[in-house]
Amino acid sequence: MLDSPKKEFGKKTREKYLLEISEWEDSLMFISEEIKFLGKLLNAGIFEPNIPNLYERLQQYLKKLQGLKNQKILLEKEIERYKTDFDKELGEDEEHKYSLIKRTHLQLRKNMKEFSKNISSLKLEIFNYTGTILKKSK
Amino acid sequence: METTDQNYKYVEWKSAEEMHFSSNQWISELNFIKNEHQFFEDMLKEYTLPIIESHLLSRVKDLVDRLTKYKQRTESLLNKITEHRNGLQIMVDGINQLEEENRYKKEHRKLLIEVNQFSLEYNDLKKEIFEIVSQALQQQKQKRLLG
Repeated sequence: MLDSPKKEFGKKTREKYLLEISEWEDSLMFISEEIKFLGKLLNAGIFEPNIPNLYERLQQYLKKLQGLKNQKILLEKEIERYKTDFDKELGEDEEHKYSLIKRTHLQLRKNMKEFSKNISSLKLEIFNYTGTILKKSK
Repeated sequence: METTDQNYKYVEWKSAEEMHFSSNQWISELNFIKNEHQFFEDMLKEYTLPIIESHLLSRVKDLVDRLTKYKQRTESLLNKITEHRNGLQIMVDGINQLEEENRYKKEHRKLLIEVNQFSLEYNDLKKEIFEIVSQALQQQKQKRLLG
């Protein structure tokens, strides 16, 4: 038989969730700096001239970067909202609250995973492309 | 260091499945870091070093040295985690071997601390690289505007 949401949501789960939330926040904070750096890099004009479609490629990356920046802001807002719900006093319907928290947490975990995958994949694309066309300084 | 203490406790609650997932995640992150290393190394050696102001030269060289050390650390950590992941059998073979299972959890906890520490230090290094490369970019921009 399945445990009731309340029994399932014990002290351990609570602490585990809180720790995971704080890891998400740290990770998003660092990603902000990475996005900022990559934006600077793409806009810096430090690439060899006469590369076919250079401008278009850089614009494409900048657009994707902006999209991920927007996704990051949304995620931050969702986490903030979730934290507020998490800390709210328990009302009458505790079981309902526990299952709601669990559902939101699992969804956010999934969203974070997806977001990390997307940002890593874009970073890799940018590194692979720009790494080979960096203007060698004399 | 409340967070770190919590991290240690956290392992006690992890199932074999969760430990397997963490190990795979660490391996994937470290493989990604290997790609990043190459990019940052080229960025520092080929782009930043030749244009940076002379008083910052030693800082860039220091960053390149640290990056090289991180490359070795990444490889060593990757090997340890891969070996650890391959030893997971002990947790799922259905045989009750409390001592070995506890040893496995202890090893997982040790690796968790090592990976966390590595990530913290590596992120600090990356922040320094971002800062120095940004300065180099700024200098180049100013030169272009003046020239």
